[in-house]
Amino acid sequence: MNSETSLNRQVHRIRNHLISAAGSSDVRDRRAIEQAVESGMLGDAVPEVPNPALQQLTSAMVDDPAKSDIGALRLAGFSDDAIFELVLTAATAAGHALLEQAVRALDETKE
Amino acid sequence: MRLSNVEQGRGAIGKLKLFAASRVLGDRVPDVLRVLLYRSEFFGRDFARYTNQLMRGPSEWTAGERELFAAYVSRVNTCAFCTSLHCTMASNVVGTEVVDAVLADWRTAPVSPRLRAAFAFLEKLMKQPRQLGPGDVRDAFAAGISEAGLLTVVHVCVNFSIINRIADALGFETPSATTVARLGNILLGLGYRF
Repeated sequence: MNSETSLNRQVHRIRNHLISAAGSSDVRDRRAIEQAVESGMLGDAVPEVPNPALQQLTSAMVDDPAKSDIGALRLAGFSDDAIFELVLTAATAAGHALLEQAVRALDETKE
Repeated sequence: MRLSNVEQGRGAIGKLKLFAASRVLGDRVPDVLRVLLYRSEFFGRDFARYTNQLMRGPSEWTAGERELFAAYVSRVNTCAFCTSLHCTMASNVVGTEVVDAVLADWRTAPVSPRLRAAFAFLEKLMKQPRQLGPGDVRDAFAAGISEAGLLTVVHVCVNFSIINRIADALGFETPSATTVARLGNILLGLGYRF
């Protein structure tokens, strides 16, 4: 049985849009940090992201978002619009990881 | 706000919305509104709709209880801006003493066993997500929380774990107490419709 609800669907839609919509950042970068943040949120080793500035953003989002180094992203060539997209994607990935864990626990209760 | 493009708004309509919001609030527009209004088709429009349904839609939890969950999640995430705003709203509904007691230690706070069970679930989800399991769900059900009610709790955690991270990563400024109170009254009365 699946615990799908309207709220679940809305989160999935927001997340899917963030990792697929055209924007100022490369979709591949958004997908990479999304997967890395989701892994990190669940205590797994954070997969390597192919850019040190993105790696720093990923680690900060998992451990301490206030330490996100926006200046390093700029120095790496990301525009402010691209940084906006990357931060939203990384933050949403963190929330999505928690949702998946909770839904899994709910579904296991019904098995 | 660490991004000047978001600070300034985009396009005539975006800037007009910021101007209108500043007139209503009588102060600088809080950064959370700037993020939701900036290129809203990318994130803000859908996220605001999700937040409004979650925080003000039909639920077995009152709006005040949901704000209390939001304040707790924001405190655990050490997000000063969101903690301040949602503590203010929760205090308006359930009282400052209850809010302070929950944030100090929900285990000893003067709240119902059902509410306490919700905080136990929230704490496990936030601090040990991998360890969350059917036992935690059954504990919540045993305290009188329905499946729909538990999903609301989960989504408050999801929603505010997202916005807390955005706030901290982008360096949201904490508005004055007057602006927080005014914004809190608007959000309590009108909901999260931007």
